[in-house]
Amino acid sequence: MEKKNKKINLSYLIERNIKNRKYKDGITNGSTFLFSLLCVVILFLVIGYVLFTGANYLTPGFITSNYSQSSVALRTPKDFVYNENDYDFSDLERFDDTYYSEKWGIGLQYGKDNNQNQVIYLVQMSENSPFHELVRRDDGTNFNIPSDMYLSYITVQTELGTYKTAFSEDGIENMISTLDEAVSIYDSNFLTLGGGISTSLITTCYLILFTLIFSLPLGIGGAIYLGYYAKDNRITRIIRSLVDMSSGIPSIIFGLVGATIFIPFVGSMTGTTGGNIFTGALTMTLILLPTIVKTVEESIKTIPKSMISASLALGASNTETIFKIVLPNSIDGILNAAILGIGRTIGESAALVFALGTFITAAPSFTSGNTTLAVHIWYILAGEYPAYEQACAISIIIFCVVVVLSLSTKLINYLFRRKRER
Amino acid sequence: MKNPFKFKKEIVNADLFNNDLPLPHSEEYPDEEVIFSVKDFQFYYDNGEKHALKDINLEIFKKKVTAFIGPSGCGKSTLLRCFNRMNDLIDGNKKEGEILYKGTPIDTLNTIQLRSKVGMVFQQPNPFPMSIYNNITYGPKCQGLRNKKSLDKIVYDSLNDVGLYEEVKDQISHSGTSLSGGQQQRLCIARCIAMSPDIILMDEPTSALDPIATLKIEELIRKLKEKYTIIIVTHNMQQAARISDYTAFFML
Repeated sequence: MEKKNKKINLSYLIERNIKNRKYKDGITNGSTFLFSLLCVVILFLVIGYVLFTGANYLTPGFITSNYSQSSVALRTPKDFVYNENDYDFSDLERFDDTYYSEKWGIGLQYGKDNNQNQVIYLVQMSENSPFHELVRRDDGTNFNIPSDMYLSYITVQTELGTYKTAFSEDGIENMISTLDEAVSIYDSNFLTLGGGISTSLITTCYLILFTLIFSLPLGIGGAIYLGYYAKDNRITRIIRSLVDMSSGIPSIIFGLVGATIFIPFVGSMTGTTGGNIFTGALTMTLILLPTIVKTVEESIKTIPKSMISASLALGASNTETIFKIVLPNSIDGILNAAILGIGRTIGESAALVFALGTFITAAPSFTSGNTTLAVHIWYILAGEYPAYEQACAISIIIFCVVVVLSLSTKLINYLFRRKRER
Repeated sequence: MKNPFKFKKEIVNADLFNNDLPLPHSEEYPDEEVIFSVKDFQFYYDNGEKHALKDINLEIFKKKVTAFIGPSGCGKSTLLRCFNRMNDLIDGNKKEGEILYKGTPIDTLNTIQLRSKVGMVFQQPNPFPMSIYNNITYGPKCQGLRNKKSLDKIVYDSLNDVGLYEEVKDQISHSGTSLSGGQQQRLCIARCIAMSPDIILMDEPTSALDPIATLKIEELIRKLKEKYTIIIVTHNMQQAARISDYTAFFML
């Protein structure tokens, strides 16, 4: 076939298309803008909801207290007789926001528990107050009321011999008037703040520590193999694509592996039953390995080949080259991998439900089940009365950590880029 | 495919460190002592598909500058990198014939020992991103030298030899990458001679430098000739004429 040299009038085409294009570009640009705006709006709505709902619940008491509540019931001794002339409460210092019972020499103050309910704290006690004589109802031993316990109710015996109970929900005035009628205290219940997250918070830190201890050496080793030693052949390509693929496996499957392999494995070595921090850390190691291998390998690959050649040409062995040239120059990748790992460990819940456990214990334990913050959220939402507000408060903590971590990766990358350019 | 579990047995030859060892004299040039001799050498890339070097017969003479010239892609750098077995790092390489270093085939030698006797300077200045001091002591430290005094002496001598000491004596702990291009290349040469090699291989060492830095490197090569055997790959005929004693011309 012969080629026909037909002249194309480009300027005419452009003129014809210019109007057409304007509309097309307008529609595409407008829709991209709208979609991205929608994404941003949704993101801000989610963050806003969590912040708005959880902010009130995120108190120091929430972070430092245990999930379980402990209580103590106190009464005056059985041979106690109230005699007005015995007591001198002049040492009691008076404050505006505190209510005082003149008969018993104590100061009460409003406080809030972790469900934002009004509770009453015993904040002041005169040195001569009969409250120092209170004993435990169960074994009759003396008990000093710690400052982090609040008063939930008090039952007193009046002069007439009848009993009268005042609950903290009914307010301090009611309680003080009840106390004024009393001649002895029959029952008083003091409680610690419950519903806190201190155990989960500490467990999360332990889990991060052990996960990094297990996963970083393995991941860096794998990355050195793939980025430095491995020849570019079929086996390497298969390994590399397997690593890529395993980063896409849902984490609940890893949790299954953790439950069926690591729990018996760790159990046979340490004698534990069920999940604990080590089984959780081993499972998280499986989840993190692909990410760490990929991140560190990318970083190793950016090291100029000439630098490695120079090291080898100077008579350094492969090991010396790795420890003196490759690893020091890929330290940014290693740090990034560690930070990604920390973020992933904090956010992971599905796998840890199986591999770590869902029991919120009183103290972090290495031998029994625990929860991380994310599993804590799962736990308090899974019950009959989901505690959305507390879940949001925990989410705020996780948000903050993740934001700090992602900012620090940016900082690390910036610092190392500047160092390299210099 | 090669068996990955089969390791090549490499021997460590103590004779290589003996500089008084009598070397054979060349038949063609009876005055010269032969340090490297290449015999019927063939080199292939890509599992034998690309025949890069064909029937190379060559002798490198002791304490002389030998220049390799020829058109691009004719295999000058390939042969140069064969001398310290850097080509072994490339996948799918294949060689026939042999290269003798002081009468010993280099393929039987331990690569670390060979590379400590045969230094190399690359086309692009490639100092390590560490201090000038650490750059120079990198090689000796890898060989296990820990004595601070000897290391200081090596740094002083090597920097003096390349004429860099006066220029950098106040910033010896600064990063090697903070120097200018010409200084970086001289630092690389200093790093190389810190290992006190017999031979320095130079792969177009001046192609990334300006004329003044080039001139300095050429002067340096002329000076280093008294102590070391130098093989230099160059694209610049004038440079080959200026600095070399012998020239090998490669045909495509």
